[in-house]
Formats: sequence, structure tokens, C-alpha cells
Amino acid sequence: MTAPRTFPLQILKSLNNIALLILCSFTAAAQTPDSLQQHKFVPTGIRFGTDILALAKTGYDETFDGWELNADIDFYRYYFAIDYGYWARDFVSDDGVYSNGGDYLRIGADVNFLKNDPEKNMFFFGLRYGLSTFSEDLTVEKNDPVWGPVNATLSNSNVNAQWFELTTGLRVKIWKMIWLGYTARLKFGLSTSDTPNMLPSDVPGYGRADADSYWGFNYQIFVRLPVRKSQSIPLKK
Amino acid sequence: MKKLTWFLFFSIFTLSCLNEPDCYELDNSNVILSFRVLAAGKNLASIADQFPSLGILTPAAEADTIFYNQSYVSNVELPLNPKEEQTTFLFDGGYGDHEIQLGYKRQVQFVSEDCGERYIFADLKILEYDFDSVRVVNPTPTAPASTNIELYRCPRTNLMGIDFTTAVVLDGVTADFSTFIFQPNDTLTTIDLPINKNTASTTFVFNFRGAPSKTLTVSYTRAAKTLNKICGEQTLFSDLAVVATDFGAVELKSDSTQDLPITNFEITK
Repeated sequence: MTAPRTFPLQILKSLNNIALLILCSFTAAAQTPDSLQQHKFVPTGIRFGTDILALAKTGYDETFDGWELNADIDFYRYYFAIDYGYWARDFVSDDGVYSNGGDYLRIGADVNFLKNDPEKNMFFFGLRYGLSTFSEDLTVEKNDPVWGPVNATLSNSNVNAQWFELTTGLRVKIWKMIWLGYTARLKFGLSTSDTPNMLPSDVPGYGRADADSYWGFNYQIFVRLPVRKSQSIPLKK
Repeated sequence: MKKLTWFLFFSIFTLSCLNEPDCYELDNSNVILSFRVLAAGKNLASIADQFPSLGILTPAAEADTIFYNQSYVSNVELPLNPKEEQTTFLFDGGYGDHEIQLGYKRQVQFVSEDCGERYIFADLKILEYDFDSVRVVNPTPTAPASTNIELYRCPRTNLMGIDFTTAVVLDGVTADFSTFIFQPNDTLTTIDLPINKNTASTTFVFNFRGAPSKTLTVSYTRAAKTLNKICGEQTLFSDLAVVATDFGAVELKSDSTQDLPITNFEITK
């Protein structure tokens, strides 16, 4: 039996391999015909994680407060994914104060293009459907050169929003049950419930509501709990 | 280590895609009103007008706010009031005052710390007006602004166009009947003068700065005709001719009036 490698070295080596995994994934996607695989659409493990960027941003960005929990479960090369989070914003501009807060949920699926990786590393593309319920307040105090003082206090309560996301990213096993990875999201198709007084500005889970599409990025750490031993799939010779 | 660098680069590149708003032209609070002249024929066939603006006011604005003071304009870009769901504009025009009241929906949206909030206007409507006719072309203001409303007037058939062969400095021009003469500038090479539809001739006195005054008397033939249903019967002028003058030379260029005015006489001082 070989001696276990130390944790930091394992992380470094895995990080070094991430770029290589991207290249490998493109060839892996085309390598093994389905007829040679023994598909077992039975989950082998559940992965729970959180977004490190959201936690870090809460620490250093005074305008942001939020967190996000992630989970996925495998069905062969397909993963059912669910994200739940909260974010709140507080912005102060020269002529107004804006604040919001709300929960969001994303559900969807990812397809792993590293389907024969024995350690369940992932390079994936996926789809999400996002939902959010949030409230927001805006106070305007400014002096318009034409119209004079403009003062207004506006709020939207329990606004419902929904959108779609195209996702891509990596999951790399770092150490025993620990995975690291990132998810890049192209969010689009935002719609919100009617808000007659104030147009939504910032939708938790989505971002700026005036953008037709929006990029999002999560850097995540996961713990994978095995529920069934994974069957090894013979590689094509 | 090289692969780690690429990974970090890719991550940072992705982060850089996060949009920051551009604060330029966030509002769509300006509307463009175009002045048009109803032409002969079917209703609302029209040509672009040159509105002689002495100033455009809106009662809700700060007291010293006057738009388009003393200028010819074919369209005006005016701001909508974000504090109300209607804005009234008063047009002080050379040939009469006009008023229009616009209604709309407005919503506020916070954009960013740098940009602040913006106002979004929509569903533009004309609530009241006293122009000869009006039309909403585009009910949604845009940024940059484009034509939203057309303001129509009936043709002014009695305007005679005068060109000077060299620029002149005028203190004013008077006619032998009560009328308004729009003079956009002191120094000019062209001016439109109204002729009297109740008489067969009109005399004008040109008061030049630092030079003797000059007179011009023109005669014409009048005929009543309906050019447009909205405007009804109007007087048309033709057979323009010089009856008397003390200018050096007055050359006839066109013997009938049009709207927009064309050059009828060219004057050499």
C-alpha cells in the first residue's frame, strides 16, 4: 500500500490538471460508443456544496450579502442539479438609495462529458430554470435642472422572477470526498411579475434586471456522499 | 504551473464578462415633436414645417426654463416630467401660440451606484391640443430620442419670400396692416413677409440699422380654394408684382406664394 499524499499537493496537482481536463473532455465525448457501455441510471452519490465566491463577496463587498447551496446527483453521465440561495444588495448613489433581498432556486440538469472518469470528475454543460422571490426599495432625492427637486420612495414586495441559464464548468476531485469546481452561467429570458411603480433592478440569482442576458460565475466546493458503489466501465481498447 | 495559470486566466476572463452598466442615455425621458404642414389632398399628407419658435415653456418646470428661444425648428426634443404622469408644453410661435398636453406611464429603475436611477416612459398619449391636427407616431420614447408626435398646421398661404442679394442688418419690418413678422436674427439674407388677404396690395417698410428705411409695395390676385378638408377654404395668392419701391432693384422670382415659402422677390439694396 502506498502512503497517502498530503492534502496541499493533491489540490495543486488537481488544479494543474483542470486545464488538461478541458481538452480531454472534447475527445472523451466522442470516444466510447453507447453499445459498449453498461448504462446504469442509478445514482451513485449526492454532492452538496456551496459557492465560495458568494461567501467571500459577503465578506469584502459591503453592497452584497448572500450565500448559495448546491447539490447534484448522478444518473450515469447526467446530473440533476439544484441550487438554492439568498442575496441582498445595498447601493447608495449620488441621488438615491436602493436595497433588495430575496431567495432564489435553480433546478436543471448537467451532462458530463468526462463520462468514463472513475473519480466522477466533470466537464459539463447544462440547463437551469431559475426562480426568485424578492423585495426591493428605492429612495430618490435629486435636484433636476429642469424639474427641480425630485423626491420619491418606491418599493416592490414579493416580486416573482423566472429565467433560464446555460451552464458550463468543472468539478474536480481534490481529496477523498472533496470536490472543487466552477460554474459559468449565461442567464437569459428574465421575466418578472407586474411592478407598476418601479421596474425591478436587481434580481437575486440573476443580477441586473435591465440586461437581456447576464453572466454569472460560481466557484464551488463540494462534499460527495456515496450512496452506491460506482460500477467501473471498461474503456474501449 | 502553466496549466494553473491558464485555469486562473480562464476564470478571470469569465468574471470579466460580468456587465457593468453604461450610464450614457439611460433615460428615455425625451420626446421629439415634429412640426408638419398639412398639404393639399387627403388628410394628414404633409411636409416638414419650419416652426418660428419664440420659446417653448412647460408650466411645471423651473421658472427660467425656456426651450428653443427665437429659432426656426422643424422638430423639438423636450423632456417629460418624471414627477407627474402628464406634461404640458406651451409653444410661443411667431404666428400664434399653441399648447399640447401629453400623458404617459412612467416607472423608475435603479441602475447602479455610478448611474443612479433612470426613468422609463411609455404609452405616450395626447390628452389635449390646439394644433390643427396631431398624431402619435411612436408611443414609446427611445434613447436616443426619435419622433414620437407630429404636430400639423394648415398652410399659411400668405407668406411671401424675400431674398437679399447681400446680408442686411434689420431693426424690423412693418406692414400696412396688423400682423406678426418673424425675424429670427438681426442680420439676415432672407425673410418671410405676410401679405394682406383683405386687400389687393401690401406695403412694407424695412428699417435698416444705421441706414435709411426702404419701402416695398406689392400687388397680387386672390382666390379662395379648399386645399384640405381639415383647413377648409383658404385664400391663395398669385400674380405677384412690384407696385412701388425705393430699393435699388427688386427682381420677381416667383409670382405665387407657397407654404413653405419660396423666394418671390430678390432685393438689391
